[in-house]
Amino acid sequence: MEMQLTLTYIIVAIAFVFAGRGAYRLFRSARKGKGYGCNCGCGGKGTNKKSCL
Amino acid sequence: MLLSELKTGESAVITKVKGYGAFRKRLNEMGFVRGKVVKAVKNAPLNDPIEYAIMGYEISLRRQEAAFIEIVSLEEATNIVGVSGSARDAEEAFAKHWESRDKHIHVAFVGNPNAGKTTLFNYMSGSQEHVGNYGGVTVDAKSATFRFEGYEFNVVDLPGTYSISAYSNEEKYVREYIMNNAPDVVINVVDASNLERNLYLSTQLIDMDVKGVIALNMYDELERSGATFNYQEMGRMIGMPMMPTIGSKGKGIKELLREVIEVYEGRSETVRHIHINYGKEIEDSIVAIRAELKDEKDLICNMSPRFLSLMLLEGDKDVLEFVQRDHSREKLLKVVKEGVERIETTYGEKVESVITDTKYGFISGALKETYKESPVNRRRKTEYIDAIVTHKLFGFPIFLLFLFVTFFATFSLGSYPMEWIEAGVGALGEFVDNQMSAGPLKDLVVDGIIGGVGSVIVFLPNILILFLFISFMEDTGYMARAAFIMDKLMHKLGLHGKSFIPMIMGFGCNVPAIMSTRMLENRSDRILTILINPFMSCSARLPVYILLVGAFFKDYAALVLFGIYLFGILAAIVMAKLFKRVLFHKQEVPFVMELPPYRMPTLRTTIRHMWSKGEQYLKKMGGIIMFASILIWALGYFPVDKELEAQYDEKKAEITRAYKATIASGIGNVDMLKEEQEAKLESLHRQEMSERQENSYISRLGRTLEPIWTPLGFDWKAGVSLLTGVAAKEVVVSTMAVLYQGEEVMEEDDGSNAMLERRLREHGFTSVTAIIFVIFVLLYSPCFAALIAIGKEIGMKWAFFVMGYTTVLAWGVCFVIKQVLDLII
Repeated sequence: MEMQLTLTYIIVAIAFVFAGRGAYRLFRSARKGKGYGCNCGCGGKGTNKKSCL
Repeated sequence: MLLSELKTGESAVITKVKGYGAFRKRLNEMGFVRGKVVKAVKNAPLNDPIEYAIMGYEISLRRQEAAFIEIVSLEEATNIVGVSGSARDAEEAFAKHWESRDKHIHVAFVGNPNAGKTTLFNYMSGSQEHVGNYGGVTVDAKSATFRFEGYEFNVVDLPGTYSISAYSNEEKYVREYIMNNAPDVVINVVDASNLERNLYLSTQLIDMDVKGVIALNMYDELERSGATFNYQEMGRMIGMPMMPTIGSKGKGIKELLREVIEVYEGRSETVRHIHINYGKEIEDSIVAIRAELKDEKDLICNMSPRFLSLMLLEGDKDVLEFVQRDHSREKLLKVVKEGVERIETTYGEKVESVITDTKYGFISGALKETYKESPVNRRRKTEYIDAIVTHKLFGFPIFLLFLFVTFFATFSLGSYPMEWIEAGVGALGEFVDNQMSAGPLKDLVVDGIIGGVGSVIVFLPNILILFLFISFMEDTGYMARAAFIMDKLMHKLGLHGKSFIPMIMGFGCNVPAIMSTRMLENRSDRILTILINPFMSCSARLPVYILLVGAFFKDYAALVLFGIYLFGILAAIVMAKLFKRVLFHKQEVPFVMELPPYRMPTLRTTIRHMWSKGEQYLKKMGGIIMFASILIWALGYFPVDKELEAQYDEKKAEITRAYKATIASGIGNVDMLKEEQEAKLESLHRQEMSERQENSYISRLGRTLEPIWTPLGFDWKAGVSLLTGVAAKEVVVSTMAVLYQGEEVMEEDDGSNAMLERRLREHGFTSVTAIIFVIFVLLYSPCFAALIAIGKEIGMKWAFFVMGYTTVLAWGVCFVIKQVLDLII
């Protein structure tokens, strides 16, 4: 039970960090013109691109 | 790195010299050529110009001019070639290495809107940038890098423009990009089925003296029309090679890139700089202006003197400002003024018109010799379809029918795969439930993560179907027709017909829709369109609609869904009318919009478009939806009430003891007793969770805000769900799934959305509450991403305004509707 509680705290802390990071990136990337982090595709990072040539 | 960035005392090797004509030639003559070592000796007292040492002598360059020379530091060059020693050794070794290494070509795509630039760009680079069969889809420059035949291409897709005369922001942007970044080769993408108008931009590129290749895109349409075009001959005439391409099928793209390499390497026999003859008066004026510009190095370093002269004669405001930025240059402007007066007296027309007419005359003359039109009317198919879909009587019903079919299919067809995913999510929840021992981690995984994410992921098929229809609308060319038939109505509301395109795009996602308002020339139109765009229900709100409409209006769900979207459009119309009257003065902008020929979208494009949206939706599941679900669950689970926990532990132990004793006494069926015990324990656990949630952090927050929600008939859980929806609209559903956990165990409680519907009813949700909730979601503040997009496009004060007015409006409308419905029902 204690172990489960500890793991739960860790997961929640990770989620909190990632949510905060996401919000920070959203504001920062919008300011730099790199899209709005809304997953609509704007300001794509250019990774996973494979030329059709 | 640029030469202007080289620090005093440091040396570097030149890798590329950019710039135009005479300026570039002059730099080359002074020794600034690829492979040479250059040293920054010192800066002038005011930090400009800079003295450089090259080939044994000193030379001074202004910082702005030095920015046209690309370099690598000597250290870097030495590392690359692995030679240490004198600068000369490094220079020689680097020169040899440079010849054998991959070369970088900077390519910019320019062309008219809807010529297929992005389609070519996507094919070459493997990007998935948004494309559509209407002008103005690309509103920002996109870049990508790829390799082809030993060359590294850095391609930049620029927004479509009809010219580069700085009439619109896009035109200004494209012109400045070409001038400031000096791409090695410009690919001018031309719609082969509409040569005359498309080649107008090519004539401006000729004046700019840029190295270019013309891609005759959609060449299959030209061939199908029965027309013939001797493009090699045309290329020779204008001094720019032409290559036929079919972007959607990837045909001719390799050949186009090979031609780009030829042009870059200076091997193309077609390339030559020509001058379009504008007639004696204009040519004389150009000569006079060029004579004045001869010593103005800072003016002609990034712009061809001939192009600059023409722009000055045309009275281009930005160029006039550019010329006068340092000092007044009265003599130059006097020469320009004299030239303008002479030309206008001779022709009796504005210089701009004379130059435009001459350009079209030049194109027409060149086409006369190379292009033979088909005897058959090539746009017949388009005309037939247009006769129906833009008909004054049938146009609107067809459009509404199209929208209805879209939402009907989204709901009905989507419900089958939705059930399968729902079953999968339920099975996963059950599996995890059986495998893990009881405790907070199990609750987090089952109720928080699987419950939250699972409740949203099931809507993936609906989202894909919706995007299939939006994609069809965009790719066929119907989008432009929708704007055309709506222009009159939009005009009455004080909006431009083109505003309808961002509105329709808003059905997909509000962010690109907000960005696409850049296609509107008038700022008031832009702001107004952005202000009402949030009422166009984005796909992220769809899960909320489907969940509640499916649960409470099952028999006529598609119709209700259609009605919700129409209600959004109606709200947009009313607010547009109001804003136009209160905030903006009436400004008329003519409706100039191209109606492209209808095109059948390829299966590849459609699937790609759909999948890219699906991929983005799934990414959201693993990101914001999951984190929000975990946090909402945690806020609903904590703080741990030790006393409550002890009470329930005692109750659970009591039940366990009682059943143990009964089983030990041998009375009754053991299996049945065990099952009964499990059910009772589970029920107790649910009660504990429910009681714990009532004392949780989220409950405290929700109850504090309850006075806001109570008049609308929502409990604190619904209120919190709406609040979290500002992060992303899908989070409304995942929050509901996490918060609306029942007190009693229900049969087949698999955590699916069907279960969530039952839980909602159990918590007092009625059809009235459901419709009010849906309307609130439709009208209230857009998500953070959309708000930031608004802030970026038109300013943060407008973003806050949108957030405020939409929320107040949502509350007001919902309150009124509730009062009315309470009276009726």
